[in-house]
Amino acid sequence: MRIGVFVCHCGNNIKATVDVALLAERVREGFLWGASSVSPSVSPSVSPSASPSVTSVVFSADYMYLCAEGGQKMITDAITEHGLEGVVVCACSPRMHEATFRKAAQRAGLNPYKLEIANIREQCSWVHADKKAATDKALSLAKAAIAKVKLAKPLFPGENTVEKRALVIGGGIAGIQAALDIAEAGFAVDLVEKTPSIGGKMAQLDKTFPTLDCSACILTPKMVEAASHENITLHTYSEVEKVEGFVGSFTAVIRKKARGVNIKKCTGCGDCLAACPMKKIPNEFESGMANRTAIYIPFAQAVPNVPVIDRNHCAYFKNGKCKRCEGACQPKAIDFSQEDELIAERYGVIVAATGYEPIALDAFGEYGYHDNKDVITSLEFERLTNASGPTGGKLLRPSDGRVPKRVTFIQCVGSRDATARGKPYCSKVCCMYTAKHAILIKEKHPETDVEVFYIDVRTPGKSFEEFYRRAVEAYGVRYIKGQVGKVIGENGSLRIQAMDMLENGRYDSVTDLVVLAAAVEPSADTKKIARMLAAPADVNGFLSEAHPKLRPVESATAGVFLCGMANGPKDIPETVAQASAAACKAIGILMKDKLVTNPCTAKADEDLCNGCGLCVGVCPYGAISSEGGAFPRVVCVNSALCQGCGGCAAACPSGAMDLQGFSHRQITAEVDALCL
Amino acid sequence: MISMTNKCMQCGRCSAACPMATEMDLPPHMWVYRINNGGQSSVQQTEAIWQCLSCFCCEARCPRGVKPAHLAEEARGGQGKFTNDKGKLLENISANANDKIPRQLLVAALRKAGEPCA
Amino acid sequence: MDFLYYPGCTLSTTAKQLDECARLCAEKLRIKLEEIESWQCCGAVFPLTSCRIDTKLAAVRVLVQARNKGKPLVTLCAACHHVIKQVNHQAANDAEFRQTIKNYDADLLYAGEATVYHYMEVLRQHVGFDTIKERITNPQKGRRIGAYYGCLLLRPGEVIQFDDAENPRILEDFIRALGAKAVSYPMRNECCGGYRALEDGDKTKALTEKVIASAVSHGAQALVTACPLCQYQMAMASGGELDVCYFTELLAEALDIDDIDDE
Repeated sequence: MRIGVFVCHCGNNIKATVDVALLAERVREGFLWGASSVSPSVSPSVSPSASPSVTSVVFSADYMYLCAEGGQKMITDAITEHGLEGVVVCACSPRMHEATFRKAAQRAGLNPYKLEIANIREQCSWVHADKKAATDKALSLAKAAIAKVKLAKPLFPGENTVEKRALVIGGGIAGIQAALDIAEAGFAVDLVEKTPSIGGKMAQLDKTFPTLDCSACILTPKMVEAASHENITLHTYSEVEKVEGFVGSFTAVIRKKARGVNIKKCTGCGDCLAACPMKKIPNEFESGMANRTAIYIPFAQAVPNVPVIDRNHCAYFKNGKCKRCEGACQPKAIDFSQEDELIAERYGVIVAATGYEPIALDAFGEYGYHDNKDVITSLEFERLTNASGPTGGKLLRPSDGRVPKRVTFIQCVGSRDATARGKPYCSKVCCMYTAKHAILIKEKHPETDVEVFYIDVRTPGKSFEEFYRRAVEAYGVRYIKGQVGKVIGENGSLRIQAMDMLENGRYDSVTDLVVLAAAVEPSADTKKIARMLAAPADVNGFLSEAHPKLRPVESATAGVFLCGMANGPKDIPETVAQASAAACKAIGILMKDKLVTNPCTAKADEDLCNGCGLCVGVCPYGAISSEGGAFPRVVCVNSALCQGCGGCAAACPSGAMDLQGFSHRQITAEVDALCL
Repeated sequence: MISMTNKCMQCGRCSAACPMATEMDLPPHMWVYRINNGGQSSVQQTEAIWQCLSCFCCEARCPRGVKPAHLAEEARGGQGKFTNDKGKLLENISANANDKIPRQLLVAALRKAGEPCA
Repeated sequence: MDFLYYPGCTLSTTAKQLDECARLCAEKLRIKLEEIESWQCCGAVFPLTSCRIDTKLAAVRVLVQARNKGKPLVTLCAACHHVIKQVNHQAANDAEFRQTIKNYDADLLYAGEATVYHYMEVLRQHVGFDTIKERITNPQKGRRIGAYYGCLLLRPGEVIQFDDAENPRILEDFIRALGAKAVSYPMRNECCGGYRALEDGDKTKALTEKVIASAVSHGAQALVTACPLCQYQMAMASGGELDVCYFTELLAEALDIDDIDDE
């Protein structure tokens, strides 16, 4: 085989520690171990066809930046001029430029899988200091790559079809935006939402920072658009149960939970709600600050505007009595016999937009959240100031309905917390929403004193710092650098024991309402969804992006995209930006008719396979199956699912399973080249 | 020596939680700060480290896992004295000891007065 | 239900009632408490400095005996409970500590194998509050009783693991099991200042008064406590406003145990 070896300087990255010119010279000496020639008896493991006389580094060169146009041209020219049948590039990690060099080889007419990379940067020049030793090591690495490429076979990628349909999991602003963008590009989208209505947390908010736009006013048009768009199918009160497949051909099973109401017949009149006798159920949308009935619509602008029967609290489902809603319903839309429906659908891409929840405050007893009605969370505060909330937007204390004379905000409850109680990260949105809450209070009640206990005030977005300063300078909100040790309920008020760090003294005062900025965490189902999608999540449970800087909306699992808080704490502008970005990536796949697959997949030699099936259990991707029929069976690898991890090849006791591009013989040759 | 003082982000929760903070010349977050910057000697002359009750409220509420009560005891022990500079400690113990006080209080008071580090 | 029992020095002297009631109640509830053969004062404080090892030896010796006998260790005094559990935790997690102990005394090869319970944990886990409810013959109906936990019983939470340090409920559950109305109040887990009672009596009295005020303002007529030091503080500061007794005394009353030495 005629092999060409190219050694990159990578500027000074490699050149400073590895003598690149010498390396390029020495590789030409073929299979050498420091001597100028070798006899076949020294290397018994080298097969005759690879004997030194047929060794074939017929061309070698070094160059400053092989990844640059000039470098690529050098490679393609050499392939053509010298009839190269195999190429070794000694440069940076294959993760950086393997694809680049493979494309160059292809352009010159060489099968791209007859090109190997020797990593002499991350694995050599970047970790050693002694030039002679590093150069010797680089030579060993080059020899290993040469040994491997000698045994390389041409490989040809396969093709997958792409189902032109997207699945968006999560119907908050992130999911809605992603769905709208994909739908606008002309592709069908299924938007699945667990609760009875789309809208998510944004629907619960009062105003949004820094513009103080009414949240529902900017959200509901998008909700309505999502419901009425011809390309979007809403599956509300539904959950994804199972996902199988791979990019281009996912299959998902969606459970449409039984509402007990026929969506097609319901007019959203609300008569059933009025008739329902079970009125004391804590309303989740109101964060438990108001009650709802057993048959309910979560909020007035719900999309779809169709009620759901909560079977855990409905008198009929619990003890067979009532059915008053059925009687009150004129279009006869109530259907107690309705059952969950399972639908299976095929998708080309999946977008995960499963959102967040505030953490439970059970472990933070010092703030008295469970013991005092007037200690509330920020989300509960949003409901209090919201005109559609439990008090009609009037700022009233939950305990006695009075207007508070003083409101105290406590930041970082459970955030920036390295102990087992809390979350180590900053929840990002709380400094801004607290400034917003403070301003909203002052607008309605300028005479109410507002104080905020903070560790830092973080205002990284556009117009954020100005917004916070407005709270302080224009509205007179008192910001105290310090934290609260304990909140004590006393005589209908709340006494706080706190520390003012700039005064370096204790600050004890009496207040009427305490608002806790609780940390955020990924919503409860995120773990389940992550496992279903085989999408990695980080130590805090947030879905991980493939690369934090350069691939922020893609999961490492091909075909799965991420947006919103499911991926990490962020505010609405960032969520919408991420959603559109995820949609863009999704569209990039959907618009293709075919996807090229990785040809470095496992393959079983039918003659050697004895059907033991060990590989089937080892495969993490479910890519191997035993072909049905008479004994002995042989296994079959689905090359679309196979990710080329090589586990099966390692496990196979008979050596029948091999990994294309990383065959047993190739790896043995590499080891021999390094060790012998 | 417990060396976690640089985990402190000076949030102030320890001092807010401390029952003795209002009496101390240097509240807990300050002695953590000083020990971090100047070592134990920078707090050894304070009353505060002797006023610590070892009630662990500070440690229970600290979000970073800093242990001000441990640091105070280390600072006391590092002086190898039986009393603080004011010299009141042992006098108070002998003056106030009587039959009714729980045995553990006597032992604890003597121990807290600061035995020299072995 | 067979346990080894570590009374501690205070329970053998100034807090005799706590100990006596505990033993009598254990008998009635069919809990076997076998006093540890040889024990010393636990030291009353758990040293927080890394160099102090000798002062922890008393606790280690007790724990070794418990391990060798294969029985869990029960203790009652909040301070003893705190010191022994802390030492146990350190022995389990700190290899250097284990080595130093061994250097002092080659017989003390200990890695935290013994289990340590507070008497209240035995009541909750091994007897069960429901069982206690059934067994009491003198329910404390109509009484509004609060619990004072103090510090050592609860913190540090990860080591002591008695109950949630910021929002404990075990003693209130116990009080309810005895038929009384449990009064929960915010200062029940705040320090009484006990450790500095001899050095600075005024300030510690002020701290205790804050706790009492909180209990009274929430309607408590009486308080139960588990720590002889807290009990002492409360008795000195309450000035008759509140009845303060040990939780075992209350249990004894509810179980109709008469033969107690009243001092």
